[in-house]
Amino acid sequence: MTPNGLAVNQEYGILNLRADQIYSFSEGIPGFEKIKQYCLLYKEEEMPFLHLSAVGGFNLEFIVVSPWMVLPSYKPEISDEDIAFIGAPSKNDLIVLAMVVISEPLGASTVNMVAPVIINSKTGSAKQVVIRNLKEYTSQQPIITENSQTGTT
Amino acid sequence: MLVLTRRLEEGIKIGVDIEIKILEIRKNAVRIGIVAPKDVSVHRSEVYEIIQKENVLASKSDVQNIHHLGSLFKKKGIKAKKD
Repeated sequence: MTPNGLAVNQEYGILNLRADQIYSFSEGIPGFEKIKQYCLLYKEEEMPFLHLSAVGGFNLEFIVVSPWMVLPSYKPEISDEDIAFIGAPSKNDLIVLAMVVISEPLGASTVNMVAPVIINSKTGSAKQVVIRNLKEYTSQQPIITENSQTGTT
Repeated sequence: MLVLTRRLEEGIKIGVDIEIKILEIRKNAVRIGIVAPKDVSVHRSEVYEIIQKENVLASKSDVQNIHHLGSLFKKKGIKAKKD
């Protein structure tokens, strides 16, 4: 097992990962450009939140959530270049997740709707992109909004 | 920083496969065309900086309590939606 196949996570301890469980961000993630490999971890009781954890002992992770859980009407325009960048997945193979900033109190937490993470689940190729219609959304969407309370679309 | 003066329709080549061209000059803005390989991302600097800042904040999130956040979510009546 190479060091690349190991993920270290506070809650999960040390994990051995198969190659197909590792997502590859060839440009890293803005702010963490040198770290290229991540995995997705979850716990039943934490759903719908997932951990996007760096692979290789970096002690780095992000909490991510489906942006549609927060804003059911979310319509990100992802550029053809960005879709091509991760190998042009079909709609079924495309995973879209949004980064969460957990605050105190928890209800004040925000979600970045401007820069979702897109993953090609077939190849594992991934990228955090900036949506083309960024002016319609905010990088600090309150996680609990009037809209999401009623669940209207 | 390398500083160059360019006129309308003139360009700059960076390495062998990146080209930047001045397309239009207005009073307070310049339109720029960029040709770059598919695996090179092009970002507006200020947007990239906002994303970097948000990501650093996100990475410092206290993850111990997110199961509470999940229950807060459920209490608010949000149901999982299939994409």
